[in-house]
Amino acid sequence: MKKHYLYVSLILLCLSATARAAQPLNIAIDADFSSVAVEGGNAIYQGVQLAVDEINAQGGVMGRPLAIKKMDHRGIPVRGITNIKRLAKQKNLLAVVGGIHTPVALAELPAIHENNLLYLGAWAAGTGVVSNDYSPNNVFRVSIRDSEAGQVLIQHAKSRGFTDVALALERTGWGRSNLESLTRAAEKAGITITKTTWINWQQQTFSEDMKAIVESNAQAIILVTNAPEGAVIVNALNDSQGNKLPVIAHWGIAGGDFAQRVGTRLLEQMDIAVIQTFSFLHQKNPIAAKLLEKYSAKFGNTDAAAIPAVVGVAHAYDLVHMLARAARQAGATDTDSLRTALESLPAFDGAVKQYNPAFTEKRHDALWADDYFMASYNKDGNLIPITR
Amino acid sequence: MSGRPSLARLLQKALFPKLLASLLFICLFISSAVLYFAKDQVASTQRAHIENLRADIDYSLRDTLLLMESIAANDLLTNSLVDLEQRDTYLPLFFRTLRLTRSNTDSLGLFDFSGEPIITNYWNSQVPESLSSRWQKPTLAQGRRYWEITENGVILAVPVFIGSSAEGALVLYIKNLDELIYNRETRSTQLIVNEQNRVVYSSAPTQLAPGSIFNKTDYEHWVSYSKSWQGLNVISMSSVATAYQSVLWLIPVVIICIVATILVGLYAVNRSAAMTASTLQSLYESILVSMERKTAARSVAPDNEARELAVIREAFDNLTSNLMAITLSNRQFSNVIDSLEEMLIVMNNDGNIIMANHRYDTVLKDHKLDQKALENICQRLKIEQAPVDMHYKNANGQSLVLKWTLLPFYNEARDVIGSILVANDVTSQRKLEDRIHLVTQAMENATVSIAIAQITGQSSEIVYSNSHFSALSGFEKSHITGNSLLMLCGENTEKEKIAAIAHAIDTGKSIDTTMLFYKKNSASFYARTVLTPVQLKGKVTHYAIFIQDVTEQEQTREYLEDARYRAEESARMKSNFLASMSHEVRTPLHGISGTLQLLEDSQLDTRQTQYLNLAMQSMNNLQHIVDDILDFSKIEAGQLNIEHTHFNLALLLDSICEQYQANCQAKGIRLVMNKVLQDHEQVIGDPVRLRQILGNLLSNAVKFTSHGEVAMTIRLQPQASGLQLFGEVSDSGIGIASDKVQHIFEVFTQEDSTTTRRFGGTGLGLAITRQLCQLCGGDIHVSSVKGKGSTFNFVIMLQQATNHKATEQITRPAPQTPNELPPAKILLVEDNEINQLIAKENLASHKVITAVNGKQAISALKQMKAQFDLILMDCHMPEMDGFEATQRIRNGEAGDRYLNIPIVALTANAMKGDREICVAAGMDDYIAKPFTQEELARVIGEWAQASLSSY
Repeated sequence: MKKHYLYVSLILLCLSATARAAQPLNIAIDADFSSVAVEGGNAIYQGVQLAVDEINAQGGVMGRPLAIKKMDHRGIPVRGITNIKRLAKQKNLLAVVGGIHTPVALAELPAIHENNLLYLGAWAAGTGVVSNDYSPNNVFRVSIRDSEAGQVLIQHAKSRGFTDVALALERTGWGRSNLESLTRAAEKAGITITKTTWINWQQQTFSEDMKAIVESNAQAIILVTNAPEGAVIVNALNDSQGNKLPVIAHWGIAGGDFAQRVGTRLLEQMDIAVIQTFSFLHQKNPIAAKLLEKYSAKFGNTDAAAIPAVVGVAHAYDLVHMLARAARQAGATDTDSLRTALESLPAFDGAVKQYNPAFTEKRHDALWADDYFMASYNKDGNLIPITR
Repeated sequence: MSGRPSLARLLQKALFPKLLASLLFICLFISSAVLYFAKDQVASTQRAHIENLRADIDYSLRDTLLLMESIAANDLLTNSLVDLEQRDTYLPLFFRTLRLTRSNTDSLGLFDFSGEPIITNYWNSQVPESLSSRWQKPTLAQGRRYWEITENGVILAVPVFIGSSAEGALVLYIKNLDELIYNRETRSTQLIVNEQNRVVYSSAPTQLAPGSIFNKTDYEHWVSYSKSWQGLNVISMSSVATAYQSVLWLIPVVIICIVATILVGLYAVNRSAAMTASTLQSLYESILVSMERKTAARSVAPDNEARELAVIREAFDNLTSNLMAITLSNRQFSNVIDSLEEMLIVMNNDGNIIMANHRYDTVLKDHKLDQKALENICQRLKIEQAPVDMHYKNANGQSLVLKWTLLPFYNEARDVIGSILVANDVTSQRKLEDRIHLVTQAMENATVSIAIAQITGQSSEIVYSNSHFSALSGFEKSHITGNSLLMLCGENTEKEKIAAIAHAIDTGKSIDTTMLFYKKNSASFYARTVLTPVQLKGKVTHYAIFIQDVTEQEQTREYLEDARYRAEESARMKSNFLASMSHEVRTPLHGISGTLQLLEDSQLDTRQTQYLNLAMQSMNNLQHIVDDILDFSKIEAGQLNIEHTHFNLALLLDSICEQYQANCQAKGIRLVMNKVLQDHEQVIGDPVRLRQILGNLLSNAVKFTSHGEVAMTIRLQPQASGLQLFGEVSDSGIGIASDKVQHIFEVFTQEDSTTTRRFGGTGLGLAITRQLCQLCGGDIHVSSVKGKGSTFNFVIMLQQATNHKATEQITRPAPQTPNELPPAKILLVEDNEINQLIAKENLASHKVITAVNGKQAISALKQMKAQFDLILMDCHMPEMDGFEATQRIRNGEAGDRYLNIPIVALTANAMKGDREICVAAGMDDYIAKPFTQEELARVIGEWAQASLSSY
């Protein structure tokens, strides 16, 4: 009897050991897959997927395959928090790859840190997302940092010879984060902000504010919104007495269906410049080329300019590879090990750039003002880097 | 009568309970119908209230939800779901500005996708725990709007969408439903209660406060309607009075209708009662009249009479009439029953008398015919099965014979329910039968053959014959019955007697004759047969036939008859002898007379004249005697005809008087004539015979009277059968001895032989006179006293003249001789030469051609060119007599010109029928030989002159 019991126990032990060995390591994607920035969410997912495919093709991480877990927060902070809380209970979770929305990311911070999850920011640009008060800081980002973006946008205006600009911001933490950086950059660059307007999520009209902007004699509009509100503002601008002010936009509009909402005809007429970090037309490194190759092979899109929210693909791709490197480096999958490993990663060739290194203990942002460039929409509604 | 209620009262009594009951029923019916329909209406009103309430609530809820949805769609609100850091700066302000209901204290909350409150107003203090999370699932998970009404309040929730997903919810809690809807302005109360009957909403909160328990039983009598809605019961109810307020106006209307119906009913009853009463009154009056008059009277139709009543009244009239008729017929029936000679007693099966007629009552007075006796009779009749005669005697000893008959008495179903006893009083019948029996026996045993024959039309058949008849005839009775008397006739039975019998039977007369009959064995016998008609009811239906074998008597009679016949034959032969003798005698007399007349016309001296006068007188006497003999012969031979011609009686009497006046004067006696004609101068009769009668009587009277006078009195007396002529000729002559008077009218009788010697005469005169009187329908009598005179009284019958034109035979003055007439051509047909000569001499002035017989006459007529005016035709001639010649002339043998020539017969045998034979032969007139010049002149004047004048 006793003998039998022993066998059974052994078998169960073996089985569980085998099972554990075979259990994948999860990478969660907490992004908007269904609401205002579906393209951004999907691009991040594609980037993660391409990286995971590569990693799994090379035997995974520590002999365990990587699996992707999609979490849709719909751009709603509270949903994001809920997602984080649910992911916290998830076993074998390596990290959470975050989506476009800064407000969601900001709202999730407490939960991330309470549960000691690793948050890899692939898009949300809010300065406070990375520069938070948590220590250890579990947030790592390959994306624009708003405080840096403000400088770039103001610089772009200045380079275009504009002295007076108006701001159109979404009434969220992201909007407010940009107001701060833009105000500071404008001051530094000697550009006057003639009017600061706010737009609520889901707001459908902007004509009054546009009237105010026009009346403020701004030479350009700096736009910080997501695709729906961006479209409302551009349409309002188009409707307003023919004075087609140039639009210098943060990349929120590139994370959604902005081109579709505005329409390519109008898009062509308008002078819209969008801040970008990646474009297959811009990054010409072998990693990016390989990525495009893989992307095309997997998703069938051969036009490098037409890949929607392409920054999301590149950011996520690079982040997952960094995570895999870190895991291998650490030889562990726990957050603390991974965080430490990420903070101490060696130089790394990514699709966006060569990270040298990407992160340090003090610096959890991997891209800075120099990594940013401006792009504009071609007649097909695709963003084409503006060559200077 | 006066104590009885009137028709109207009765009708009211009979009708009003029913009418009221009907009205009550109708009212109840109407009320229930109204209530039923009103209930529907009330129910529909309540339903409408409910619908209104529900619609109101719906509308309010929808409004509120729409408002909430518009708020939820507000980008500021949406933004707040994203903008967690800053939202507290604008969200409370935004919330404070929201006012969704009339209440200031609504609880409004904004919740995130997980149901966590983002911002709330008056939430935790007011919203019950039960309601705080129910909205979450539908609103947040399914993205639907949500609302719920509970006893604790109303909760409304709408999702806040970002993109297509509900990322939050705006939730409103309203404590009272009142705040959502306006006060109900209805008379009924609306409630919304939950499953536990707790009031969620009440339109009358003072009565049923929200939150209190709604006890249905408290409002059992309310009109309510409920509908479940969203898990709640919506009730609209109102008290009956309120609910049916709309139909309350019906109550006075119904009352008015009832009163009107009663009044109309009252009027209708009175009116119909009055109409009926008028008809009944009319009927009553007609009954009174009917009773009074005993005949059916027709009732008078009142004004405006209803057809049905009229029909009833007419039917009643007919009934009355029928009743009257039935009464009459009943009475008649009783009368008939009582008038029956028969006793009629009807008894039931128990032997009790049900009915009996008067006759029974009268018989019962004298005879003991009580029920017991009747029962005995019944018994006897039942045993005998035939009518029974029973004899009774009353106290006076009068006998009574009753013939009892029993008949069964049937009811309508042909069941025998008794007996009918009929008793015929057959007393006299039985007597009669006895008598008939006696008579029959007498007839049967009579020694004369008796038979009775029934007369049916032309035939007769014997229905009875007695034994003697069979014994006489040899036929069996059975053979006789059904046969007629002809069965006894045979070949020698006198046919005329059979005819006479037949005639007698035809005319219904009796006949008594003797005839030859034959027995069965063909032996003949003479039978005196008497047939006497038997009249029944004035009509001859039968003949009683008596037959007596009179063979012996008949043989005797035949012998006597034969003897008589021989005697008569010899008398007739004598008469014929006399007649032919007189004819034969007359012809030479005619010759002598004619010759003497011719001689008288010649030149004679006095002596020759004296001789001639003597010869002439002798000639006249002889002629008179011959005439008498001839007349007598005629009379004896029955050949004297009495004529009926018009003549002037007065003229005739005067001429006779004149004729005898000369004789009387010569004898020195007077002739007196009295005539009383009573204006009847013209009469119808035989003037020749009257002249003969008077001539005979007067000549006798003159003859036997030597002095004194002869008186003739003629008196006419009208009688029923004509005119009666009474004649009387009296004289003062020698008279007749009384012992001779009775023989004075016999033939060859005179008073005595001395008379003949003294006065002459043939002795035929009075006999002829009597015969003539009798032939003229009268008679003659004589009364005489010897030596004093005789008086002859005679009577003859004349007829009144039908007109006053008399033949001018007598009155016309005849021409003296034929030669004084204008000359005419005359054919004389005469075989006797003397007659020819005399005629020719007398017709000297005329052209006379003679023929000796008919043959010669016809050939003369044919050959002579000259036209004859007249033919004088002798009757008896050799070769062709005058009759045949006349017929031939009339048939045209002598040529057409003589078809109508006048032919006058010259006949010597002036016997009965001469004139008729002459006329029948076609002759126009006749004169008897020996004719005188006057007679010849007459016919020539009458016929030849007429013939002449016609040419």
